[in-house]
Amino acid sequence: MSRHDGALGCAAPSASASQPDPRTYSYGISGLSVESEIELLGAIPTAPADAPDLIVRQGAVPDALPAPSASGPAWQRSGGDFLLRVPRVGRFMISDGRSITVDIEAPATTRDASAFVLGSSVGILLHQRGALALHGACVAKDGRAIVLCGASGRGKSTTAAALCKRGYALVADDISVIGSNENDLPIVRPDGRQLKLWRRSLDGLALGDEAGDVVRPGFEKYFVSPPGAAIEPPLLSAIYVLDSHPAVSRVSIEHVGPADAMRVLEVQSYRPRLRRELNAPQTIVAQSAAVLRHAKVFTFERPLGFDRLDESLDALELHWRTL
Amino acid sequence: MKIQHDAIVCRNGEVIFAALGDEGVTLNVDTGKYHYFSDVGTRIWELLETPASAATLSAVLVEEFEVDADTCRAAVIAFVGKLADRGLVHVTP
Amino acid sequence: MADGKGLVWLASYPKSGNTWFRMILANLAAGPDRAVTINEAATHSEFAASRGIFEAATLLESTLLFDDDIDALRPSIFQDMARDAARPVWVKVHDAFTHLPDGRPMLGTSARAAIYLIRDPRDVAVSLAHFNGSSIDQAITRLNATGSSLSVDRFGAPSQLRQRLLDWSGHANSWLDQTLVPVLTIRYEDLKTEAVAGIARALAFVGQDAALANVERAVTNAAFERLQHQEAEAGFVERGLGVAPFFRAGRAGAWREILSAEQRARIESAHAPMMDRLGYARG
Repeated sequence: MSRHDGALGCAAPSASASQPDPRTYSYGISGLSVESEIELLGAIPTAPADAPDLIVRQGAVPDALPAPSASGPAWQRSGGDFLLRVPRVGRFMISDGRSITVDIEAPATTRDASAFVLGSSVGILLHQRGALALHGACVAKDGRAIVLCGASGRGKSTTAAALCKRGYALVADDISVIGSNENDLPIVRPDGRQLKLWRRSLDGLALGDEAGDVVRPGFEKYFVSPPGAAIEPPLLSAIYVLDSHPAVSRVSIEHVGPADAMRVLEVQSYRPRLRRELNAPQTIVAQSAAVLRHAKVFTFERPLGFDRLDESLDALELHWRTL
Repeated sequence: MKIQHDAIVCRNGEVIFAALGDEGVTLNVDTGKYHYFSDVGTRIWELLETPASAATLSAVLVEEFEVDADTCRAAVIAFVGKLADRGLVHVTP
Repeated sequence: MADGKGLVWLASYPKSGNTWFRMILANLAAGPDRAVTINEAATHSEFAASRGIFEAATLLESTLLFDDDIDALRPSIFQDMARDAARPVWVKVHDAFTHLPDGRPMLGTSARAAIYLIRDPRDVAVSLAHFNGSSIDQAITRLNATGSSLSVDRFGAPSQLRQRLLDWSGHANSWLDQTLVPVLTIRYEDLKTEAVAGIARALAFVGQDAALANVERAVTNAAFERLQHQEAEAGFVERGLGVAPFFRAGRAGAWREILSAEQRARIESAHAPMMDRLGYARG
């Protein structure tokens, strides 16, 4: 916990590093230093930064933007402002890749809002900043990482959790931002958060004792502290796109060729339409190509059922080791 | 599309190219489709920075790759035909 | 009008022929030169309860929203889909045609038409039991319960949004008696005996042109035996959790050999008026 005792004062962040505001929380999320007025559940507290990249505050957010250039059922965009309306939770204004303002609608609380700050709002912010954010979990060993992508409910977090039990370090649970190091090699930025698992996965993986708080009150999804979370961004070696449905009887891992891999990176972005809305095609193509020069893409199809998980992971580990 | 060896081929401006080593991929922004280019295809794309005919392209490639002139020309015509089919180039006439 | 642009609902209670109908549509769209596999066809049409569609449209994580809050956003999604449809967009839907607390229809009002597929509830019960891997009695209980819904799993992450079914009769009533979207009812049994005529009638109703020869070819390519064979070879992505294959028997009237007198009576007493309305003789 990053609460600092002793200082009185208002909610505005203090300008002086030696007099920190008692009601801010500090985190490191996907390469960004974050200072927040509300506690972000599941995010791992860090020391405060002098000039945080992202500030999360509570405040008034309008119901609509004056002249939106684009909109959807729950959102509007106007220039650098992005308005998100979450039913019976509140309104979120994500601005210029630098701030998130949260206007909570009672009886929802900061615990409800937190889930939509760390998920949708941060995702939108990352796109505003032009980051390549994949919707996937990431684990690493010896400084090399794989990202596990796939549709919601296809087992990304469950697979990541099972790999953590086998000694891999968790890098990201939900949003894997791909950056590059000084040698232009793709790296994955830790999302600074705990794993999130549904009750069924917790039981299936025998991790029930590790279950912490719920991700949102009223939902059987829990934060889980994985052993050995990564700090340094590891090199990205491969992306596996997970798929599973009742008709799959055995594990199959297939290499994806360059043109299809470009499409995969588009489709497996966090909210692809949003990425396109906020980034030029030239940027998107250049970013994806930079990744594919050094990392490969595979599909990973496996049979359903926790009883088949070990054999699937054996196959995945073997495949990754031989890359 | 079957093109003539002296027809002028030029890139579709709505296509974005990215190199992957000696090979490459293009995105046709209008259709949203990606296409893979081998090393030869990538070289052809590079040469099309200025509009050129299949004959001109073959002449350059014959020097750079170990292939005889007739094979090269037929391959270039076939390749450019495919590019045209996918909307990646314009051909006149 | 004859280009059929817009959103068309392909509505049905589960296990009533929706997938078979979509296989035919996919084959029709593929044109004369190729037959479409069952797994390709599964992605041809949209699905009203897809999490992917919801999340792409709203940018929100659907698994952390309450079902009623999700429902409140669905009408706008369908309005946008209907408005943006540059061609006929068929959308499979198992949801009953319900209204939100504020009176808005959950499925919106912008669809150009709906085809409502219906099947003898006694055959539906048998098919449901196989699909879910449950007993027939359990299947009948679901068929008869007004509170029945699909995809409600609080301990996992169900792959679809919650779909309110009501009971079998309630489901049919909700679609047949609403006046917001023109609806044509097609019985599964009639489609089995005269598929080409049924499909042609459906296409004409929704304003989509199709030459009869093309419809014939599509129906042939989607013949039940072919679908069964493809599933045996490569599996089918829409299979349920029971051990039976998805394309299991596909017959009309098989219930006579399977249901006990008591099971039959449970269904008939709960759904007599709708069965009469649709010509499903009791007893």
